[in-house]
Amino acid sequence: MKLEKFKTKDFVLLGIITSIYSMIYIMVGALTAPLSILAHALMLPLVALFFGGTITVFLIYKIPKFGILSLFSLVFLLFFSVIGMSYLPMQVSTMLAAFLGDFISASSQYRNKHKNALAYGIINFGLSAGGVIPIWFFAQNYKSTWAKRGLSNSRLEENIQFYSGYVGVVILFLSFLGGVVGIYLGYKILKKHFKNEG
Amino acid sequence: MTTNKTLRYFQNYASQKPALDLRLLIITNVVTSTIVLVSPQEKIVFAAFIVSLTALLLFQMFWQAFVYAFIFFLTFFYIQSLPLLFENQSHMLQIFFHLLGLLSFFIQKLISFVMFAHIIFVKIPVNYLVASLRRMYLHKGILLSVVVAFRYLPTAKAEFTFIKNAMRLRGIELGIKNFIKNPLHAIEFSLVPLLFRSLTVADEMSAAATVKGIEFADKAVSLLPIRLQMADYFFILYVFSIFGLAEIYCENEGMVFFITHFKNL
Repeated sequence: MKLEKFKTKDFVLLGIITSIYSMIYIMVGALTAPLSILAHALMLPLVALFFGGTITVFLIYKIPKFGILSLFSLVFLLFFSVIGMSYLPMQVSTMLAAFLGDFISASSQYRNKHKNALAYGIINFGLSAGGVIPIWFFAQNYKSTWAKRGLSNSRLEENIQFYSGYVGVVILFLSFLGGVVGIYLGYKILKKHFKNEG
Repeated sequence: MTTNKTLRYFQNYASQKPALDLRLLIITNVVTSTIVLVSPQEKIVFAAFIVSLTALLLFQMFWQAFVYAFIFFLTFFYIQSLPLLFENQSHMLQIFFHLLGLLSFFIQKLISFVMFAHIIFVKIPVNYLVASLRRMYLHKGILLSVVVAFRYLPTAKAEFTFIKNAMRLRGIELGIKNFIKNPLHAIEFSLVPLLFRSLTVADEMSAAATVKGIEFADKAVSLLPIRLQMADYFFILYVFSIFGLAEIYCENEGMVFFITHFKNL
């Protein structure tokens, strides 16, 4: 593992790419604004599949230095927290996942397609987990609010538990898959262009 | 003469000052959202809502405040009226009502920080943003990235329009219809030009930043007065007192308490 210093140009490029990534998020998210976190969790796999993968491949092709994935996640999260979407569980889980992804990807100098795919899948999983796990927590809260008013219906509660748990697991799995497939898609899309550039 | 000019410039800058400090808004947002997330009590949700509503009113966003209050009370009364809706309904319908109730519950929990997001997005000027971020002891490179991300956002939109027009000239329509028909082509013709264009822009921008002294190692000085003012201190006091009052005086689940009392009267 070779440690290289980031230059001013790298930071600028990182900023621009984060801006493009965030623009896509905001455009997709504007459709589902009132339900931010829930809708965010739902749209995340799709965004990662079609856009995130390509953008990440481009980024790590241009700046293959150790720590680029965590830096990308950090700038992305900072951008969103300055806009106001600061959501602590999501930030923590994403940063942990990004560190893990960086170690996986950097073990072959960000050149191994499969390792990169795994890393991006993990990062997406982290981002999603930050959104989904609090939802399970909310469901628990909701149930306790009901129980406090003496309105407990065990069959209904089981149903809700089942639905929220089931949907959550599906979202987590889909976002991991979206990240992995998105990277392969990104390599397929960018292959020709990288060859032209040399 | 020149001092007058400088003074006027400074006053003009200072007059743009937002009603509350940006750093205060961000920190309040983080703290309230975490408290709301952890606490299962309804009164805390109400307190957070009141705090963010006050912030909206301070920024003179009256219409938006009205809309958010409407949404909040709609979800609130929906959850309140659930027991009435439940009577004599089939099992499937009850599950549907419950899921809708869960959704209302999410909206109640999340609305307060969506409101903060709205304020920051609409009311904070970019130069203030940069100056405030600079005071937050971030790493210089990361700060540069975040600032560039903000600065490039409108440009990216404009570039996307250029690319769309250029593709239309070549007989390629980029729309939702074509995206569904052939997503790979749509991405290749929209995202890839945007990404490769960003390389040139990055070169230009980093040159400009270097000329303007981004690599200067010492502390940068700003023309903008980024300082906590009277209003900010009052706001801090206000937030604490709202949460404190909610904790002390509303033992029976916040607003529910008032409503049951009104019924008894």
